[in-house]
Amino acid sequence: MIKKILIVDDSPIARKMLKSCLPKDQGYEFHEAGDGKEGCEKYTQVRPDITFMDLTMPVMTGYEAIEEIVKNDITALIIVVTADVQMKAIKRVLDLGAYMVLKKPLKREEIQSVLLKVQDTLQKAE
Amino acid sequence: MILNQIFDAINLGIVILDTDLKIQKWNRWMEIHSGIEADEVVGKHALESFPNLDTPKFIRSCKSVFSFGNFCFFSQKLHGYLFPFKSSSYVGSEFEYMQQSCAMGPLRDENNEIKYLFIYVQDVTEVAVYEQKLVEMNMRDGLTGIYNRRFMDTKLNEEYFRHKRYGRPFSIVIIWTSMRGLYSEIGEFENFCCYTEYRLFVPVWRGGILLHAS
Amino acid sequence: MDTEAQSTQDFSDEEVEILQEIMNIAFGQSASDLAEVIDTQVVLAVPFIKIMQVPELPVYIKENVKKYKQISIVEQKFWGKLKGDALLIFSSGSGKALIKMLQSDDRQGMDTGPVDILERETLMEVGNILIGACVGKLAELLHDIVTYTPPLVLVEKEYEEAITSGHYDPEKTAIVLKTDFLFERGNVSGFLFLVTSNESIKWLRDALKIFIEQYE
Repeated sequence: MIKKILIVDDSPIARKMLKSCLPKDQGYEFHEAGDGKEGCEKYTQVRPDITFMDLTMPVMTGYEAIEEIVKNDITALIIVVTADVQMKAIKRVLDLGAYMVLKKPLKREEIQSVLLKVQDTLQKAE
Repeated sequence: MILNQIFDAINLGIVILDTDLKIQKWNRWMEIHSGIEADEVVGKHALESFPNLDTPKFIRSCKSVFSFGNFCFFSQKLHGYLFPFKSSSYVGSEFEYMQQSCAMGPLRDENNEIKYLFIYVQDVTEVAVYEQKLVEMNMRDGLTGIYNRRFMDTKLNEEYFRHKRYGRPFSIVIIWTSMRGLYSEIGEFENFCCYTEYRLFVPVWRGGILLHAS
Repeated sequence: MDTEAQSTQDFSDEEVEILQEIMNIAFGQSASDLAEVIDTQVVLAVPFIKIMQVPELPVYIKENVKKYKQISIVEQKFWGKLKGDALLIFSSGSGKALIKMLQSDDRQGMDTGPVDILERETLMEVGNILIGACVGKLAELLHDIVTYTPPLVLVEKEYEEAITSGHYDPEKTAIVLKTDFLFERGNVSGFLFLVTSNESIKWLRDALKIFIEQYE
């Protein structure tokens, strides 16, 4: 059951766009962070069910944040959201432990389908 | 109907390719200058019909047009031509094939998706011939017809950059032959004129180049 | 300056943020597609946006490129509802590095024409593709279609003499979108500046509004 969602992106507009794609009637608890370092701190505090992570951020990049989070919680479910989907970048984040990569700009239907898949994964884990 | 008439009346070659690089349209200008009727090429793969198009630059350009919707340009200076059409001019031309300036751009459907690309082909043979003549006149001595000092400076620069790019040995051999005491035959000079002949060889694969400086 | 002209030149903070995110998406997509087209990894930095009066532009560009000392420039105008100028500035030596990068067979390169023409054409080709990628993706996100002039190229000039104030209208406002780029194979780097004209600004503000309304 997805309850807590953490969105890590340095662009407030990107965070707004992502939130708007997520269903409003599921009672999700949203948490946000503006850079990778803040994202790691929030993760430790909140322990979200899903983390949406941008890659190019100041202070600490998405790559570094994924590595840090996965190091402390191997079960972390991190979905990378990026405009740059070059194979090298995708491979790198998946090797670091990301769950999947989504391409910006996001579409509502795509997010719905991802949430169903994640829900399924979480239920199997339980 | 009006667009079809323009398509065939215009003094430019127009070819339309789909995303598989198959020829979809081949206008009248292309028929006339190629000697190939539209029926013979429409539906066929452009690279099979014209194997000389099968170059990294051409393929890269097609990809970028389909991906980004930008325009790509093929100048006569570097490419000479895209389509090998025999030169149709009866006036002296040193070019075996028509010299062409070409450009490529996107064509979109009603959903704004790029479904085709167009290539326009412009015959610039006449301009290229004049340009070539001007370059020759600029690089050769008017009296003797052999290369002048400007040519040597230009060639030296080019070959030096080529040496830097490929890291191959580079050397110059200059042999002086001095012939003093020749009067100018032009008639107006009263002074003593000295002619000195330089023989300059640029090595590697190019062979020798004779030039003259006075 | 009248009130209407003033209001079109002043972007709100939110409008700048929306434009920033759109640029981020456009350039990210460009980098991804560029890698496929020119078969080399391209890194495009998150673009930086600045709005300024046109006379300030040459000074701003010079300030950013002075570390290069010598530069090559590819300039291309684009027209749609979004219209303006794209200036791609390559670091010194990029032309020759690009020639090596794009030619699969060195022998083929050696038999090609004069090096300066080859360098010029290579800069023009890569510049055209890079500009087309960034401007094209930006236009696509804003539901616009642009056309382009053939690119102009200046090869290996001192940056002071290459960037002049000559042809910019001093009455106009420019939105300058600046990104660093790097081709990993060949170590080619530089800057891309997109300068949009005054006429585009009102349209752009409306287009930004329409874009974000999809997410409300």
